[in-house]
Amino acid sequence: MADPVTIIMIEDDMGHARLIEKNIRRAGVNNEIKHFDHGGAAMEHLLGTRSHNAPLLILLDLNLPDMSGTEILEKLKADDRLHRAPVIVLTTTDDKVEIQRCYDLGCNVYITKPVEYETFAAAIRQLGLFLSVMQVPDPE
Amino acid sequence: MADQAIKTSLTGLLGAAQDAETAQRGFMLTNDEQYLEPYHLARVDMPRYLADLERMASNHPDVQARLPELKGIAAERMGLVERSVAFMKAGDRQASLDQLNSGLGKTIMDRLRAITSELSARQDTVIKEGQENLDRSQGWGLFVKLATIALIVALALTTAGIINRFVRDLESAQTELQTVNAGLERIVDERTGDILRANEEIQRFAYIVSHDLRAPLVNIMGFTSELEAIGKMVSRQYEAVAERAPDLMLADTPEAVNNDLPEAIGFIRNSTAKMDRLINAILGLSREGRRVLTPVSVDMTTLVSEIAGSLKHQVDAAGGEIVVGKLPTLLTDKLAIEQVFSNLIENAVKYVDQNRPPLVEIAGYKEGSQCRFEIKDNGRGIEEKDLERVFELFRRAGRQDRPGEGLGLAFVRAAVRRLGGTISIKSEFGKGTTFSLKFPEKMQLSRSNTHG
Repeated sequence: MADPVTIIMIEDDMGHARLIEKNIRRAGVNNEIKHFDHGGAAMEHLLGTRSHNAPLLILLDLNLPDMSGTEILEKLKADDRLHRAPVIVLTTTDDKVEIQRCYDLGCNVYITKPVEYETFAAAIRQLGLFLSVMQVPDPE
Repeated sequence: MADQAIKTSLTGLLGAAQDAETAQRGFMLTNDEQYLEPYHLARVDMPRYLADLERMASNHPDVQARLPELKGIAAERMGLVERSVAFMKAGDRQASLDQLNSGLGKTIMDRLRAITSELSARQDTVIKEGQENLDRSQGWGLFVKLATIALIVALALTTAGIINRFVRDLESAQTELQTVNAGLERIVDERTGDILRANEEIQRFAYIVSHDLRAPLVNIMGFTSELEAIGKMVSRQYEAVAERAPDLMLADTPEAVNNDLPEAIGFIRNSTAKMDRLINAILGLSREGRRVLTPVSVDMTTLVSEIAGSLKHQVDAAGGEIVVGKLPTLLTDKLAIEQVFSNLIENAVKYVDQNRPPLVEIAGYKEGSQCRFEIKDNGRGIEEKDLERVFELFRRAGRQDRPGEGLGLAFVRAAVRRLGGTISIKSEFGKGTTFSLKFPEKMQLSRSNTHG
């Protein structure tokens, strides 16, 4: 791996963000995690930092206050540089139609946040393990 | 007619008199007795005519009055002829001529003519009057006939008029009914539309709420677990301290760390877990309400038998039985109707009376364009006061000794309504419960079915 992968976490709920981060760390993933609590700031960062060439992995919540997660997903997948970056949708919505729509838009993994914390923690840790072995393409 | 007969007799009488005179003259001129023939006839005829007149005169006072005069004249006339003939026969032609020349004969005849013509004229008047009377009575008859016809026509027209009015009344009543019906349908449509819109809003509301309620729940559960982990850590730390430096211990720390903390965390966990189930239930209901219904032909006998089959193990263990009758086929949403029946049958098997083996009977009947189903059990029954409550969300009746969140019947009722049906319940506490369902044989897609 040339450059360490940066994890971009777009999540409006601070508690969720903290729990996700804790569990990713517990899985032994030590990559940098950049947290944005609304879509606008995240998009600005993602589309504005063209000089920054580190490979990205995006953790995306669908229920954001300023824009919908699917809108962000659409923009990411339409962007020349970012469209290969893996997107993991991590949200409370387990609506079938919503899930389908996300995969249609190019989401790579869709995970529903379980209320049951042990399950939630296990899911995040597994995601951490997954992150530690997955290959992320460099931005062009 | 008597009047006409009188006239005839009078004419006859006059004729006979004239005949007698003519005969007399002929005899006097020729002295030939042959010419007396009319005279002989007249002698027979005249009394006959007179007799006729006399007979008929009783009803005719005018004739009656002149009858003696007529008789006298007739007798004079005949007597004159007789004397003349007698003179001739005696060879006294001169006497006969003298008598003739005396003008007596002419006077007699003139009087006779005058009387007969007078009487005839009077008879004519009478006849005419009679005729007129007849005409009048005939006219009256005609009038009566015409009046009758007119009456019949009038009656017919009146009847027709009445019938017509009835028909018009009926028609107007019908039109009014149609208007009212149309108005009613419009009102029903409007109300249905309102209800559907309200329902849609509730669905959206339920969906949003359940999602937005879940997010904080994730935090509560998550950080409670974090706290629990920390609590365990603190507990271990505290035990180490207690072992090595007991003098540092506070008096109520052991109780707080060993009991209070796990208890508090336990309550938080149970409550959040329950809240999660409830939210999921609302979400499930709202999701089911948003699902697009697809009507297909459903063989209810097969469908219900399959549900019964899935519960066979449980029912057999209790020594019970599920009896599925012949059920009508429905055009409806298969998933929804299956969920309705499986919920109800599962309930019937779940809330059994321990004193007797469960018996669940499912029957169905076609009633016009509707199909009625009955699910009857011999279970524990539901108290009267709880009959409506059991359909409410999160409400349960009777002893709470069976697992459940109070969702089944709320879901069933919502689904039944969405399928255009109705559900009612009859129950006798301690004896059993019967659910009656009614569905249209062919489900109509409503406006609530237009969105996904």
